[in-house]
Amino acid sequence: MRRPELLAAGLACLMLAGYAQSRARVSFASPFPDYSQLVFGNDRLQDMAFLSTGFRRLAADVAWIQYLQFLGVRDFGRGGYATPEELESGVQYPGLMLRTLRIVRLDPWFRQAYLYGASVFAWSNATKDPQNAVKLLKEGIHYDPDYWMYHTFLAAIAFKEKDNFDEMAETLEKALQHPDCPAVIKSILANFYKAEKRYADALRIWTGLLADDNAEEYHERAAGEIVRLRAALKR
Amino acid sequence: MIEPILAIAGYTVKEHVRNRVFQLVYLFMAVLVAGALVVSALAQDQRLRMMMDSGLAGMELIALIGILFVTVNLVRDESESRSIYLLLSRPLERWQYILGRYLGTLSAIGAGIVLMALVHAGSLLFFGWRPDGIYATALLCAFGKIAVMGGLALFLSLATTSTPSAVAFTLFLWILGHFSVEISFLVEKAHNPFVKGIGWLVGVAAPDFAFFNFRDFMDAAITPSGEWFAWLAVYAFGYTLATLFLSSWIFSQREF
Repeated sequence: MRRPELLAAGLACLMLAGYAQSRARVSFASPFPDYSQLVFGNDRLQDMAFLSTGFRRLAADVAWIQYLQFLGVRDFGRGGYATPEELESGVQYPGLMLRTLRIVRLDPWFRQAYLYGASVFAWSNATKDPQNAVKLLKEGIHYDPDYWMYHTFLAAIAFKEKDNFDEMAETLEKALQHPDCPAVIKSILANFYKAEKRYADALRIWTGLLADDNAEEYHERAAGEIVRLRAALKR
Repeated sequence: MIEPILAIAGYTVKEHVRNRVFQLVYLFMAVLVAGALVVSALAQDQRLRMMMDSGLAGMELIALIGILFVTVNLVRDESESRSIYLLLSRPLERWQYILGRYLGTLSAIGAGIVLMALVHAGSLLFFGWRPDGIYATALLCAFGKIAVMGGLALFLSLATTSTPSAVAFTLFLWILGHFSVEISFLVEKAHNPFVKGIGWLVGVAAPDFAFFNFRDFMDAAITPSGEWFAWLAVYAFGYTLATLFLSSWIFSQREF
């Protein structure tokens, strides 16, 4: 055997790497949910392909797009998220909770997914389930305890459940000031104001949405609502 | 001692820059960034996040493909064309040749990553991104991963008999590297000493890429400490050096 010192040096470096590996693991444990906590549905091959190549956040992004398509045009994709009870009951969006959990378990700091999911569960008539909204927000708080928006949303849901709509609106108004606030919650509050005949407040929110470059999907609707609300204010 | 290494690294960089496959790979990156612009529009108000993630993932993937396909043929091509005789007839140690070829390849790939990052960061800035240190750290970690993969690909190209087998083994270890935490978990839970031993061996021999995916912490409330980064650097350096020493050892056994 020629140059045995190279073999020895290689093995020594491998041992050094092994030591560094164990020290790194001691200094910082992975904060991500275990694989056993992940929610796959029939998209497991897609998610596992991303995970096994180290693209965890991208997996959450693709799941987010699929989630928006499901909510927007009821594109069920590969499915596999709905329980038999949900399918039998004929709900409009079966398996919505598991679809939301799929995203936030892939990326537990995907704030928009928690907020959007909680908004949909708390305020949308088609998907109303405040318990799921609270469950989602609590999971968000577990990973991101200092993010105030989760607490604000929890408070707003609590006020709503107690029919204390003025307090709910006030709490949501605080959330609206933040750039992270999902557009869906703005539209929900605007609709609430309209139903309460607070047209000026509703107009203010729709005008803000129309000017928001990140809420392009609401622009068409905002333009229509602004025309109707201005007419209502003139009456 | 350093001069021959630098000379070999220099001609390796020139060789790669002139390589058409190499150029096509970076052209593909431009297509990928353009594709990310289109796909990210579907993410509504999360467009910037989607562009960030797909860009970082794309860069890593392109760099991986680049280093993998270039490295597995790095020594093999020169051996087959017999131009290696010319080099080894000079006062040059074989380990210097291996190190020079590796450093040249890594430099070329590193330059490619910088180029891709500029294009990517430019597109992000256009959509209102505010540059931060996390992006640079994520890129640095991705580069660490590529450095480890380059060493591994070089070692496997010398340890195996054909290019496809070297590529297959390297890709297999790349995937295995993302399950290092799970391998450790299986080792902990195993009762059979043989299974435990095999698991431990695989855990040490396969790269641990769980460390390098810093981009997953981009919006995280909790981020690794400085100590963690220090161990990460020791790990990347130690593992890469191990592959280079072992590659040099295998290469020194060859008869030309």
